[in-house]
Amino acid sequence: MTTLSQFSEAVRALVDKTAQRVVAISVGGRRPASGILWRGGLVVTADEALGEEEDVELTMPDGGTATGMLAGRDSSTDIVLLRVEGQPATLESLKPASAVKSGHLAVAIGRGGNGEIAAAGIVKECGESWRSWAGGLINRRILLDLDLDMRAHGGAVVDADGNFIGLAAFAPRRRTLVIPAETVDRVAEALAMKGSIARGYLGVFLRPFWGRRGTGAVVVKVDADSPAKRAGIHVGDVVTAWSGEPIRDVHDMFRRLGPDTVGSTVTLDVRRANQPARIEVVIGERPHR
Amino acid sequence: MRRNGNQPVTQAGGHAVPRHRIVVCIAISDPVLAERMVSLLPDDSRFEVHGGLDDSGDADVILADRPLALRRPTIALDDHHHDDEQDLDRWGTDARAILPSTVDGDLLRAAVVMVAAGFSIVEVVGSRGLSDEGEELTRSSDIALGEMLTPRESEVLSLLAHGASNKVIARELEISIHTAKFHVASVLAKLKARNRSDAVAIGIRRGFVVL
Repeated sequence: MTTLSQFSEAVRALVDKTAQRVVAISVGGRRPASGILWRGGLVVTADEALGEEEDVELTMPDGGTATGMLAGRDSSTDIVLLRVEGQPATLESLKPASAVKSGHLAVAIGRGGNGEIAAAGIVKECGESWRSWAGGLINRRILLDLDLDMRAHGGAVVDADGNFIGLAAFAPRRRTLVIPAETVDRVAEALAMKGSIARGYLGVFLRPFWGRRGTGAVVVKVDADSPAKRAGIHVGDVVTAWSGEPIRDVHDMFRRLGPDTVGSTVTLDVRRANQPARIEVVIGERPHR
Repeated sequence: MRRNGNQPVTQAGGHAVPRHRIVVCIAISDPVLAERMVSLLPDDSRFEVHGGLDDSGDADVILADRPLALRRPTIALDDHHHDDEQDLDRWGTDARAILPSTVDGDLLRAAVVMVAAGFSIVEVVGSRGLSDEGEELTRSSDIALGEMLTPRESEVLSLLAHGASNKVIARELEISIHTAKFHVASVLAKLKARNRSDAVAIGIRRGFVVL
């Protein structure tokens, strides 16, 4: 047996083993996607792959079909949790890959109508934690040098030992991005418990502001009984910085108010009556009815 | 649906009438300026003007020419040009508006009413200020689109921004899942959004979403 065929068999074995935890997701009228059997009766997939649908049909690794019902979604980290009836209540936890670095082998596995869909490549880039557009904290920035099939969106990415690197997703311009295992576990656990993840809430409506001294976000309405109200933020105040970091527009504020800010105290620099002021505010959670 | 707790206006017999007169406390050390301010604020049905600081605790608005740290909404009369760093704490957060001592009666009275109602006033100079943005938005289709969202749809959009699923929306608004789906679809259609993340992005840009 040549070294090349040994390599081939090894990759094939990886795909075979990982595929036991990968399901196909079909959503009426939408492009099919994949998901990962994360824990017993629970499937994780990419929020973007699921779209507006909340009840989907799954093709399980044994070829049987099942119905997946939305258990929770967090678009800030692109993670959706689905509950599946009639599955074993317990499943071995996916063993996370340790110390992933640029250059390591990566294999992405999805499931389509004809069985598993595999792609192999290497880790192209592996950076520190980052914040998504909506302010979700993603533990590492991992991009892969491989071409992910659209049907494998939401599938699993593993390393050469078959350990779980994370969930396969797309970055802009169709680059292959991995939501790391650590992020998947953290968010899916919270979704399994609570069904949703609360973002930080100030209780303000903001509009972009362009002034002589630069840009910011101007408060146009303050919710009654909100953290902003309690901190003494007023309509007309222009927010220019969050804990010393500049706020240039409304989106900067949205991004800052990710789920991990709930309960934290931040210092907002505002321009009030044309002069700078500092306001301390305790970030809350949007009140429920 | 404005919820400004201290707006001095209330509904009575279908007419908006002042709940009480706006109590203005004049705390100005320069007697000439103080007298001018009093003359600009007629003790009529809208304003009740007090000299000195004895009644400052009940004041809706304080007119001051120096920082007093009274923790009451203050209109500062200040002709100095402020530099960001060194003046950070000069007026503190009490000041809700800074006006020049040459302010005319119309502007002063408008400022008193605004500050008493819980607003702060930021002056914008230059062609790209907030006022310009307002015009720009009025010209574009943005405002029209925003006004098309019903109050219910606005709530749905804010819930979407906070990551709510249809099930959560239904629970929060005490409506059926079917109705929640209907509202979400209608928000997406009105904002011409591809999906819920896109709708949130559009809503954020236009200031329709509570943060």
